[in-house]
Amino acid sequence: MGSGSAKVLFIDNHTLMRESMGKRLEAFPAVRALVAVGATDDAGGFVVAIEPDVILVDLDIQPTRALLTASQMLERYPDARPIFVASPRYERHLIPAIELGARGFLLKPVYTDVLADAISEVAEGGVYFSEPLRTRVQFVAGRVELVATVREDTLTDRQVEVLRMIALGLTKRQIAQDLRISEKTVEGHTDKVMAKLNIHDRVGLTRHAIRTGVIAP
Amino acid sequence: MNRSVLRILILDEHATTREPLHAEIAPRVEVRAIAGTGDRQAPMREIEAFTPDVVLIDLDSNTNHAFDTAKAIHERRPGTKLVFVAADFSNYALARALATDAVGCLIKTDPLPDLLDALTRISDGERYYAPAVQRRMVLHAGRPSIAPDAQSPITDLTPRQLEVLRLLAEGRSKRQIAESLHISAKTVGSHVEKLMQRLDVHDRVALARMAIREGVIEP
Repeated sequence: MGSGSAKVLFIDNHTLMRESMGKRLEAFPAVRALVAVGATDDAGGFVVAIEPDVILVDLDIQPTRALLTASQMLERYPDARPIFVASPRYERHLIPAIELGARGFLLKPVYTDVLADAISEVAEGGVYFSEPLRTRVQFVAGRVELVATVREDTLTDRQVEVLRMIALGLTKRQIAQDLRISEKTVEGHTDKVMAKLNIHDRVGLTRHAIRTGVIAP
Repeated sequence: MNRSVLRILILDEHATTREPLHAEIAPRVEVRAIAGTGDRQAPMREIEAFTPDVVLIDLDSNTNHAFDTAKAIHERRPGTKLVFVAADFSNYALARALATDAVGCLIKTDPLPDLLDALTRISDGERYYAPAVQRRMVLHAGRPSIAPDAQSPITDLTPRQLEVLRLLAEGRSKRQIAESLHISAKTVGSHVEKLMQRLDVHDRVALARMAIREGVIEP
């Protein structure tokens, strides 16, 4: 548990949570001062009453806008350290969060005392990631980086291509024609994709392709 | 003003949002009792025991589970007022909320005083839909439906077809759908045929994509 104390800028679009969580956090010694704001498309004009040490960002409501606001505030306060909080269904935002220099990422449910601990830890120069995320990040030379995915799990370029075509609704024959390969080879690729992803139906593959950005919904 | 004292039940999986909501509502709206549940297995048991007048239902952690619960409440305790709370309402969410005769749709980004005002009005017997939701509705004989200019392919579907669409998009087989809706596989087949016709989508992969675009399921 850290003993740092921070000036916190809290970005949350959930008005109720912004007020109540803000009030609760202020009661912890880890928080010296706190300003809570909603995310906006143009935070460039925001005037914040404190120079924050920590920027705490809740990603659950309008995550894209929250990330944008966070990046604008980080430009303004380059020394501030960002911590992100999200529901497990928004775990994919770990990637843009790390790109923004995340020093912490917490998966909900997150209790206030845990959040205060994370703030304290990060204010002292440490990092704080929820247990399930710890294998996905590494702390190298003062920076937080994503751990490269284990090789066996990654699809080859050709397999991604086949996955994309399946998700677009193309038949085996159409895929074979488009890629100028035999239907048998398409089948081979499909089997490998299914085995690697452990997803064994086309609807499941389609959802995976959308989740991972291979195709737009 | 003759405001009735309400029993409000908050259905939200997360104690971290349930508790502040409770804390904010309790002193401002007349509430006799308030309880929260994160119990996904047996929310009905909680409801039978607590007999709330109003149930506040969070849609964001598991939308379809929330609607299944809402539907069960609507069928088994039809007098209960249902109020949905979400970051935003997709067409699908709106259509399903209206299918359970929701008296309120609240948006989490709206100012807190609006949310509390909404609960006061609902406790006075009014309906309250957040401005962004209200714009997409029209009233017929006091009951809301989706406005013609806010229509999308799926707003045309019946509540039953919406349920079948969701289960199909989740990758369930016709037989599984029949079991979970307690109808015959043949009836499921006819729902599937009709909804595909209405949506002009003729395979499951395309149907899954449309379902994701329309907010029926998470990808």
